[in-house]
Amino acid sequence: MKRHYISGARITGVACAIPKRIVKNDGAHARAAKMVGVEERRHCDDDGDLLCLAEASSRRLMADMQWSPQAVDALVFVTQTSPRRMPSIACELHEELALPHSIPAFDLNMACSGYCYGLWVAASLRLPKVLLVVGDTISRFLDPQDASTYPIFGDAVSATAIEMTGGPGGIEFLGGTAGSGADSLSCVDYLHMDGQAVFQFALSTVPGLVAETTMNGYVDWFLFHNANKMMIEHIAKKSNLDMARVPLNLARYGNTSSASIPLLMCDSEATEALRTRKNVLAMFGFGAGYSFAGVRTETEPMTCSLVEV
Amino acid sequence: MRRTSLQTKRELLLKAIADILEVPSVEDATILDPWDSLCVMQAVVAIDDICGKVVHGRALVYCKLVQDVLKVADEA
Repeated sequence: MKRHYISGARITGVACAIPKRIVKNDGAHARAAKMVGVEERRHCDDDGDLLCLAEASSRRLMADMQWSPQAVDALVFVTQTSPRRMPSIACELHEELALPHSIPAFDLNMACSGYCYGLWVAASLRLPKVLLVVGDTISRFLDPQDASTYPIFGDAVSATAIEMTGGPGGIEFLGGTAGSGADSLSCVDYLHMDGQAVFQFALSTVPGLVAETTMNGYVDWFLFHNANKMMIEHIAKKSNLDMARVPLNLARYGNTSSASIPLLMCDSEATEALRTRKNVLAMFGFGAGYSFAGVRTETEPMTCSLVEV
Repeated sequence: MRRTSLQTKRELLLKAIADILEVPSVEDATILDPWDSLCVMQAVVAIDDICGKVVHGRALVYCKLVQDVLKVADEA
């Protein structure tokens, strides 16, 4: 796996936006829900909600951080569910937030590994303040008759503040790709998932990713892309991790694709610790592509907010 | 780590499959019913736990008997 260390870069705040509409897993989906660990998730009402969620999370973050629009040096938006093929939804969000014309705004097309990739790209810009927006409204692409996807996936969008502090620490990134899995998790009209193939990929690949991401020292919180409770618990066991430091919020939100890791930061057992003390975080994103990535980073006490839209 | 003997592995696999089927115990000839994708996922985890091998669920989907699962685990 490629390893890249961006010294001086730090996550200083995160905010997540979720739709108000709760979709519960009961009846026909109860058994699947129990095994995968999803009791309910949030679904948007219409196509325009990706931008609404992105704007809400960004505004909340900028308020928390006391960032004016003029303070932002770049906007990076990671998503695979933009309602339009063009332009980049980053440009639309740039306009909604009244960011300066003088800054770059662009999209990255990544799914469940997208938060780690977004952190890497945003930190690599080495600009003082980067707004990283990550998330999907995957519910638009779910077939309600498909038991392998409909009970599992939910919508959420995060906004993360990446600052070049110049101080100690940084963001360490590892990434890899197994393109042979491209057909196992894909979307043309509807999301298609070969659950057995994805499961095999995750169990084969992620323990190695965990080992390589955490080889350089102590970690307070292991933040896994929340895809499947049974999968995460098994990977954690194989990796000898203490489950008390592996937060899960699948029961409330389901698999929220690239937003699942920042959603853990805003609403899980780790949230209060992130707000109040220094932490070392290890993050593991894996999914469509197949694409996989890990990040290890230190945080100071930071803002972590959750808003309903 | 101590190597698990073949006999113990078989016993552990039988116990794991019984747990998946939610029955007290199983024999080789026990029919897998119900045997859906969630059972398969649990079997993949059990085989990895006990044998240290990640098998593809596709190899387990069409198993009809407990014996078939043991064969997949053995051949992986």
